[in-house]
Amino acid sequence: MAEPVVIARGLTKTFGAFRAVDNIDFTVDKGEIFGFLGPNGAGKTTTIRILCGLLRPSGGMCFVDGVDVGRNPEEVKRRIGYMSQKFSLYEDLTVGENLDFFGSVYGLRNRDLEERKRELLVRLGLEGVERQMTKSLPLGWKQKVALASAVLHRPKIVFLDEPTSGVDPINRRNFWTLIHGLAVSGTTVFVTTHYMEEAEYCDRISIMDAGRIIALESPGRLKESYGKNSVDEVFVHLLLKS
Amino acid sequence: MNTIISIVRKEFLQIFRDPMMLRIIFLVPLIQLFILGYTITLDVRNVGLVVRDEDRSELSRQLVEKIIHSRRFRIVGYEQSQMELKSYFEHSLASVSLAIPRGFEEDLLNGLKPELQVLLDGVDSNTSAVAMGYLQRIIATLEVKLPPASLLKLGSPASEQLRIDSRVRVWFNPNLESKFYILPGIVAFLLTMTTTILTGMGIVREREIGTLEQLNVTPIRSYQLILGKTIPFAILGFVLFLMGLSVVSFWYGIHMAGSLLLLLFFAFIFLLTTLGVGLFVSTLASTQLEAVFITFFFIIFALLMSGLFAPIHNMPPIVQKITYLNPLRYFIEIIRGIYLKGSGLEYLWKDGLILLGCGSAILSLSILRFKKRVD
Amino acid sequence: MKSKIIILAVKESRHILRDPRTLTIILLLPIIMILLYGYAINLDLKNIPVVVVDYDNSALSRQMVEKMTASKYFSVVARPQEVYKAGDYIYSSRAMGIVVFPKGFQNDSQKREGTSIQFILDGSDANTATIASGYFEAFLGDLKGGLSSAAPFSIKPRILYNPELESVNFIVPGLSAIFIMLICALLTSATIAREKETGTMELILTTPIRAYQVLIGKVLPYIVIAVLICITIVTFSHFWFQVPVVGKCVVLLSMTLGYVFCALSIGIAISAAVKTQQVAMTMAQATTMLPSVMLSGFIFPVASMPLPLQWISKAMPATYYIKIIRGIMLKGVGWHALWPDFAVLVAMGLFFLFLGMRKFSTRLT
Repeated sequence: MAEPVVIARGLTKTFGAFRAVDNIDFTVDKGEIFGFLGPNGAGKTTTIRILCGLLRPSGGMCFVDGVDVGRNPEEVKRRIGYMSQKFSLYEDLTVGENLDFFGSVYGLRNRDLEERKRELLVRLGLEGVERQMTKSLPLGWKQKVALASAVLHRPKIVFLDEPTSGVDPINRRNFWTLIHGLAVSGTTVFVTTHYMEEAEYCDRISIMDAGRIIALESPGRLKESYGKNSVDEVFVHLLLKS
Repeated sequence: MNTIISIVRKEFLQIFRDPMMLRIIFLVPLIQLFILGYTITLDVRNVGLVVRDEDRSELSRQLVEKIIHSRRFRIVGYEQSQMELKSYFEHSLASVSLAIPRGFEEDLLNGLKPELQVLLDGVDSNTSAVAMGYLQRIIATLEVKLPPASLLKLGSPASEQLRIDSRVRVWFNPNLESKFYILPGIVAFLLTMTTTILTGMGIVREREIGTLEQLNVTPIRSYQLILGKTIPFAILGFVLFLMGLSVVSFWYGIHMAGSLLLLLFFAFIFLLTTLGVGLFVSTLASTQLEAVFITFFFIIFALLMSGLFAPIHNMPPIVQKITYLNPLRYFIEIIRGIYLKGSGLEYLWKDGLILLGCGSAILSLSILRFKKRVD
Repeated sequence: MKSKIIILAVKESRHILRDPRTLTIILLLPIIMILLYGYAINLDLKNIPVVVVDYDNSALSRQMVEKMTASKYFSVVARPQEVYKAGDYIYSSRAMGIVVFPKGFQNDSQKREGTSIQFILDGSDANTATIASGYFEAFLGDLKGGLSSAAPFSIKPRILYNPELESVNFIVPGLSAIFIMLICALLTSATIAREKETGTMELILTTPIRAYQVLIGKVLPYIVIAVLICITIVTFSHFWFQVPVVGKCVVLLSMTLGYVFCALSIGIAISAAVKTQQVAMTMAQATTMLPSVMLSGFIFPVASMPLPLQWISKAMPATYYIKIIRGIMLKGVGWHALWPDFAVLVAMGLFFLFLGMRKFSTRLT
């Protein structure tokens, strides 16, 4: 039974004369891993920021977990988790301190917070680094900590903006295993990436170019319709066309 | 509430882990206090004086003795001719010269009113004016026993000669040491600097490294973020203020005439302004370096127009009117009033009210600018 | 070889023109500072606010109060009835002094014992108080037409330079020293550090350009700017504030170049030692700017400071340059009096340059 968690209709964002997001429509269902692909400057990050309530849409509408983001951004923030493109946790705090901080910001307290923290540290393979300074961790581990702080409060949907950029292939694969784990437990995952192989891991993907969505399918169907063997090839084909 | 406490705790964790930060907060201001206390002085001491004594009499020697005794002047030479005097000035070896003419003592005792010539270089107008004042005072203490005949010549009773003397009394700072005036002002200034710069930098740093965006995505409300980021610096500012006051008391030996509690109360009100300005700057700057620059800019303005160095009643009337807009001016008046005159609420309530008004206005403006939405 | 330096200088000029922060510093700041310092820091004493309590209310006392009101030294802000009421004015800092005419003033002044006017001063501003009491004595002396009761001699003071004792003349030329230090030490160290930080320095050094060419090309625009600012400050203060320029401009210009050289070497030395812009600027500020303002005699008389601070002052290049610029502008002296100061500047410059060049080449090559 598909239950839409994100609905976007005619969503537009302009900066002056420039149309960063041009009239896009899409829906994301509960528990889906929805991939947002596209070249640099296509409008992926802008879209995510609108959905997170960081930017106000210039036109159209979007709903996240039933809340009108344009009108009620603060309400949305309670229900979502976000991992930004650039690592943005506190490097001069320990892993544990970062989690404590963000947990309490999301309303988790004392015993609740402790337990949830433990749980995530184990699940993400971060036991033992709780006392370590975040800045001393290798990139792959930092991303895991960022993921952990995004899901502390068990949000319905989590937005990941290029979560694996700069991470080596093995750790990337591990990260996606974690993402799967999230989806299985009912969390919807909205992820942008420019690694085409990762697209294969998603339930559905949309390809964005110059502010517009030029394709929106499951990876399998996409390859079929264009007669290509990989998403990468489909991507190149579509871009050359436009 | 809990959110605010979490933010405050996080801030303190970060502050105490950063050695550079700690140095800026505590070490630098204290060093400045120690040094500035001695440099910011308009006292005049050690002024280079060159003497041309053509009389070489008992009296002239007595005069020079008195001058040396006063410890305000440093005799750099005894010269004979006018020419050489000039070169002392040109080479900046002396800024004052005293010429005692030949026959000074004799003419004096004969009631002929000889003339002492004093040359001042005038370049440092302040020093010159004050030095002149000292010199006059020292010379006036010269004890001369005049024979009655001469007295007659000087004081003709038939004239309109009025016998009027002056009696000068000094309130509050009988030794007229300028450090009493300057030091409380310096402590006020340090409080301003620290709280403004650190608040501004603290917020801009988060923007620079990107964590501000992360915070924006969470349910943190603007007011919680603002309070969380300003409270730690307010507390640190207070601690620094108290430390500064102790230095002034114990190192410089200047004790407060008025109420410490009252001063702290006013300091708290003043903090509204400084934190507000810091907040405002954080909305203007995108890097920490910029934040420091902009803050310095504001602060220099505030400093020069606050009456800390130069008295406000000296400034041209238009400029004086502008100083009414400067919150630091009021705080400096308050701190001086409490320190030196023991002024209480009855005299200072107006200043306090204005400070409150300023602070609220600046803070509200800054909060309005500081919105969570990146639009 | 020369043209490479010019190329680098041109590139550096582009950077400068495109950086809003630097532009503000070199264009806007000098003018603002001159106006600020020129008007706000006025150490001259005129219009000292006083209140007058006249218990006598006679023709004589009223006449004296009139004269006082009219004098440029004092400004009578109120005439309270009692001394304790007058005290309020001092407590609220609306007045600096209270002048009291006792009862029977006029009558007693004709008698043998004479009478006295009381002048109560607010001692918290010690400086103003000292000068104010001097003025009061002078005022009294003027009023009685010459001598105070039994002075057997007179004192004739004359002021050699700056006869009106305008503190503007004293302070504003000093701004040149501060700005040149700002530009040549602070900005140059920051810009060199910036290239190191962003890695472009490394890139440049892989080309056939030598280290010294990089340095000279980089600092050349700043030298030009510094000299231009100095000229601007002197011209502006002369025409706007009527600061006199008694000596020769050529001499001033040549000695200024000596100071510029010294400040530059300091900038280079600092940038050779640090890695980031931020540290460069902080260091430059702490070691050059702040001490220059405080300890060079710019505003505060160094002779009045404790000995250790006086020694530090002797180590500041700004101290010597301020002496030079004031000497030329206000005293009209030239090389014969100022050559020792010039020599010190050049020597300091060479010392820092040597220090900087050594560190610079070994670090990068």
